[in-house]
Amino acid sequence: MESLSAFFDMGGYAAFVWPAYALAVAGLLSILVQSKTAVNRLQRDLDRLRPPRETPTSSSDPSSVNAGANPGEA
Amino acid sequence: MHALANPNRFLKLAAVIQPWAIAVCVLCFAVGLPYALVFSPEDYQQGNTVRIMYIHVPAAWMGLFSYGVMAAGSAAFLIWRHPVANMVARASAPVGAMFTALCLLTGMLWGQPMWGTPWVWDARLTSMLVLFFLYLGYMALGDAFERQEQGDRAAAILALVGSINLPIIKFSVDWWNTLHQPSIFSMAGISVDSEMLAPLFLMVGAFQSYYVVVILMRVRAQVLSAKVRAARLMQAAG
Repeated sequence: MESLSAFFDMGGYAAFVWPAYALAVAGLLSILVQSKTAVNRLQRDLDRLRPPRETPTSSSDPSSVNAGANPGEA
Repeated sequence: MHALANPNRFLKLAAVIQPWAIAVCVLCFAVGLPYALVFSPEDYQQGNTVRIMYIHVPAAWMGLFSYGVMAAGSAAFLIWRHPVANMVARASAPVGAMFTALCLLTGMLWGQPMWGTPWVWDARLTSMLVLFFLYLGYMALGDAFERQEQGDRAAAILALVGSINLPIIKFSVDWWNTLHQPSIFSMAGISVDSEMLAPLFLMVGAFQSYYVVVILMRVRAQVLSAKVRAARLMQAAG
């Protein structure tokens, strides 16, 4: 128990060491979250605009053949 | 290199690399953080403030590395008009800015107890601050124009012009009288204790692989954004 409080105290430098690590976590997490959120949102938007091809319920139904096609995919 | 200029091919490669980058990142943090915070020794002079080094040095390195990627991507974009090169450059900017800010702030947290001041206008600190402003300028300039291509080109030129700052930062501790510690690398070897070197390299590895993870996400977001725009245009036209 005593060594745990000694650990948090960082030899008297707690006020400097812990904020440094907290800033690191904050910086790394914020960029990560923002990046992941952007990918998820854009993928959702794209899927709504160009729904991924579903297996057609009836292969002879002409109206469903091109419903999910991705035109001009590079 | 030119094969990667195709966004879809780049995304396929990215999908293969991503899980490995995530694994390396998690592993490096999982081993590096306990080492940095607990198992590595105090410094005989600096006590436990030396543990700030395990954040400050990797952040500084990544601030420089990110700018290097941004400049290289900008050059490839200007010379060969690689769209992916520009996406990588644009992806790199906010990440590099974050690392540079982290370097500056943790440096201040280290400077206060050790130097008695959080800041001096010496060459190393000042040039790192300039680097931060270059990142901000790059991001602002890229979005400042009517047409995105104009913004992309202007920002790319800024990135290249600003890259002179990289050797200035690197050699600042040699060229000028500075409060900041000299480089740990010299002809004599590495001047860091081996027990501190392991967590330092692990944390550098953690930050470096984190960068790969995040950059691949951000480039993917830009490719998706372009596809969404194209799909919306087709919808509006159709």
